[in-house]
Amino acid sequence: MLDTKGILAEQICSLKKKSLKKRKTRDTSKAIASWIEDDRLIAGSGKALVIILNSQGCNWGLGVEGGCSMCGYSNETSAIDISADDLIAQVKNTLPKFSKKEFQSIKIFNSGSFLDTNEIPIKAQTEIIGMINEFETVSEVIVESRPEFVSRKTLKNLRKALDQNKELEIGIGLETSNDLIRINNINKGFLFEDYKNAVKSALLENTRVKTYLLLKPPFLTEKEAIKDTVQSAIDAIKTGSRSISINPINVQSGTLVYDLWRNGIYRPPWYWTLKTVLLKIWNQANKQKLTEKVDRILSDPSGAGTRRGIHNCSKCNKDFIKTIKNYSVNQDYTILNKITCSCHNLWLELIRQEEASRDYSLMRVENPKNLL
Amino acid sequence: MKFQLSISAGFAKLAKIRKESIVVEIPTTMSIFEKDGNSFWKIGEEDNSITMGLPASSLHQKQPEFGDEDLSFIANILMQRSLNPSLIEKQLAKTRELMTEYLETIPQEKATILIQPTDSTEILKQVLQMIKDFEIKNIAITNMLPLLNNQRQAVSFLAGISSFLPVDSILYLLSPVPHTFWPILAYAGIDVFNNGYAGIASKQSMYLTDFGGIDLASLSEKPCFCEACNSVSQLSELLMPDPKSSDQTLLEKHNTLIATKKIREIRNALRNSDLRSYVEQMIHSNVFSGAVLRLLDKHHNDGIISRTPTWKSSLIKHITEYSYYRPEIQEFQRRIRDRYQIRGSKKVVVIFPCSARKPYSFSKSHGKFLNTLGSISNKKRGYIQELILTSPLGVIPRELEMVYPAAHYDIPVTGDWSHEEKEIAVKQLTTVLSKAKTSKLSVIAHVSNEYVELCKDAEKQLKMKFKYTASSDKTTSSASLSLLYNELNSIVKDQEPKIYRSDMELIQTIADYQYGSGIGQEMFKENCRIRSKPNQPQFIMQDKKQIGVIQPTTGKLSLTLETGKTLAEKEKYFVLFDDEELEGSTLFAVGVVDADPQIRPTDSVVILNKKRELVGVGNAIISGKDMKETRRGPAVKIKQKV
Repeated sequence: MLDTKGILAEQICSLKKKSLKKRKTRDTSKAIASWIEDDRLIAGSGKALVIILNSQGCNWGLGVEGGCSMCGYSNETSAIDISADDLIAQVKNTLPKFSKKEFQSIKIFNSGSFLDTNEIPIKAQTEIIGMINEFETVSEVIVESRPEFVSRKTLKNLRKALDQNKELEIGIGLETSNDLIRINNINKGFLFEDYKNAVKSALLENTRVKTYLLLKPPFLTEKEAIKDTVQSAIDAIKTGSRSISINPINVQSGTLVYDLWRNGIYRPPWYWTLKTVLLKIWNQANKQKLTEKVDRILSDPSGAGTRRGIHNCSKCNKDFIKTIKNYSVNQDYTILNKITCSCHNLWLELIRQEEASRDYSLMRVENPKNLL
Repeated sequence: MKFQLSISAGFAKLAKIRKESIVVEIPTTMSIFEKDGNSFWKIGEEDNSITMGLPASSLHQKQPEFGDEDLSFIANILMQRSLNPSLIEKQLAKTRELMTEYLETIPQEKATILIQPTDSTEILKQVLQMIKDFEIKNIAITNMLPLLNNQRQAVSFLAGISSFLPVDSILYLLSPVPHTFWPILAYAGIDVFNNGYAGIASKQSMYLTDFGGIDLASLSEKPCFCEACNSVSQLSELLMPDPKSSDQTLLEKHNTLIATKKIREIRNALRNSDLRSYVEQMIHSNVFSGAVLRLLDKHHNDGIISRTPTWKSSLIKHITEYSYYRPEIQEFQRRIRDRYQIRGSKKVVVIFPCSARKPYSFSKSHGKFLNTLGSISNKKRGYIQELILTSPLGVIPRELEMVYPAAHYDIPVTGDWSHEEKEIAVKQLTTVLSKAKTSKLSVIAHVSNEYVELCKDAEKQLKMKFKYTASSDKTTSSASLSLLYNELNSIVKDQEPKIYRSDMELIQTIADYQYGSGIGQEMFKENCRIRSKPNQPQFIMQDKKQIGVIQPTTGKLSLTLETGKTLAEKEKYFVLFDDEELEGSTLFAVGVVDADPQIRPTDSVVILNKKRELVGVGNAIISGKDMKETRRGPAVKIKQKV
């Protein structure tokens, strides 16, 4: 059995302690944000309502032995206790705003684990899910959770609360199927084995799994990141996860990744890397006859096209934002082959240099005039 | 693989790495090449090169796979900036264990370690100590690019490494740093440069030049005649593939040639024993170079000087103000302040201006000054000490005018002294004069123009009155010279006779300069004479026996077993080896047990056996500190044995 305590754990915890002190207090009866977006549904393209709950935050992120190297979401949560009634009120106050809009999917995110009863008490879980039944056009509901909270008992309760004709999907941040990378580079604190057990429980309770994969954890080269994410996607599909979501790192304040980035030794991935990853996953899925086992391979990068998010050069960032969105909604990966830019050759050269030198500061030579 | 040092030049060095018939001369470049689907580093140029594997992640301490490459990574130290020292220390302990294990599988000489800039100097020290303990000689550096915008950290990192590790360590810079940074980085100790920037620049249509680079599209005229540039008529054709090697464009070929040219210029400068002048020329490429040079001069002079040869014969051109703080210049000034002492028998000091011709006494003006001094009776001349005031060296006693670098520098003479030049000269002059033991020392300033101002400053600081003997701003006019004569004569004429023993004073002053204040009088007690013929070494004779030599091109005094006794007794400039008798013509570093840390390359030193008996004299090849710390290569070239 592997030690789940990562090399970076202590430092991440001390960083967390500092940044958690700066949390803002918010109105506990209001959700942090909500909007409607274009999305890929299980069946085809459509629209999704996203609600970000104001919760007390991820128990791993707030805990004494944890927190992830790239995650600053717990800094966006509330320092005070939030009751079940508060959470219910947040959803109740939000839903009427969208009563006249059309959407087929609802995503309820709480910067933590929806299935963690310390974060979202059973009462809140049940009532919030129940409220969704009023929306007849909604065919799928997505919440997120770490695998340790995914139990048959909790899921049974949720499934009971939700109409049979609505699909329930649990998003799990596996990040990578490689235990060493998940533990040391990310400090996620669980094993691939834990994820597999969670998926098993979910499938037994008629619940789908969406797997989040982190593209380019710190201390990996771009080439290693490509290999890691492609392998992880295949492993997740084989485990039974029918939705895959590729999340390129965006640099969030108060995290270890932020400190590395500020010191010039971390660069969020290139779009070329994401493109390569998506094409390679489809290629592998086709080869290994896995296409029947997967409904969607998504990517909706945060901070896209900025210095803190996935980016290429200033000439093609906008094209890529559009193309990736288009791909994600329509799941037609052939459009990825159509995008070109002169920075492609530069990227090839830089990832070759990065592999050989382990120099993570190559963004300093992306604009040659900087140094000459 | 064998390491062979050719020239030590501060933190930089010219050396050869030999592997069977392959000879790689460093400084050199490294580049990535692919073989059977795997990538390697190739170190050196086409035909003569060795290979290096790729480093693994610093976060996963997996057992590396050692292939047939010449250099293999046994560790990539987790020491990134932003990481806490406590975390790094914990990992370092694990790395230590793993390195011990790996070193049982691969030979020491192949072992390579990857390090990088870190936030804490304490951590850097621990890492370097570990490298020293394990005697790792190949040190690769990465994540260096952010430091190109942070000169202070760059200097403390690089100088920290260069001054701590022994001279036979080889530093490989894996970060693809532009060629324009190479001269200063070589000066700071980098031996091998990744030339990857040439490729990166070509992917962005950047056309590299000696001092920088320019967007190919904005270039209207071909500024280069390399193979690639000559093969095209329009500059835009450089973006076409190279017909001879289709995986690169002609532009990449041009850029790579520019980088190759740079590394050869660096090697040539080292071969000519003047990397410093080349670095000063290249300083205009970027502000980093200027800032790093200044910081090295200011904070790391001791480390640099200890590996800089004491004795050279090459000419130093002081063109910019950076030259004032050259290590050799600073060291000369220090020795004048610490080791030079006006003799107690002197009653009067005459200050002369410098001359363009070196040594000064070969110039017309100094010929006239010396003539004037010659007309003082030789029985009274012994009371007179001559000092020459100059920039940037400060003060040079007449006896040291032959010594490097006093006879080896050239400056643009404009008559305007900068603030720094004045400050240095006044500091040197006041130190020398205030150390004099004579109770009522007279000072005659036979100077004009800008020199008068300097002397006035010194007078003020010393609370002394100088006599000025140059009339109407001309030191060589007959009026000035006769004023000088009269002034001198009036001071010395009523004194007891004091014969001027010029040879003894010269020899003893040089010995003091070379080995420390007071050594000269102990080393040369009896009456010594100098026997000289034109263009030949000057032999120091005592009772018809030759007991030393002064080299004509450097001014260096070479020891003999006779003169070495003084140093052997005092254990100064000594090298102690672990046997009783010396064999052969070279003493190797592996046999050295102890050595005076003051020893610098080219110094004439005494060799003691383990019973601390004098058994030989010779010329140091590496510094005293390096002799103790390294086990590779020669330490002393033996000149005379018991």
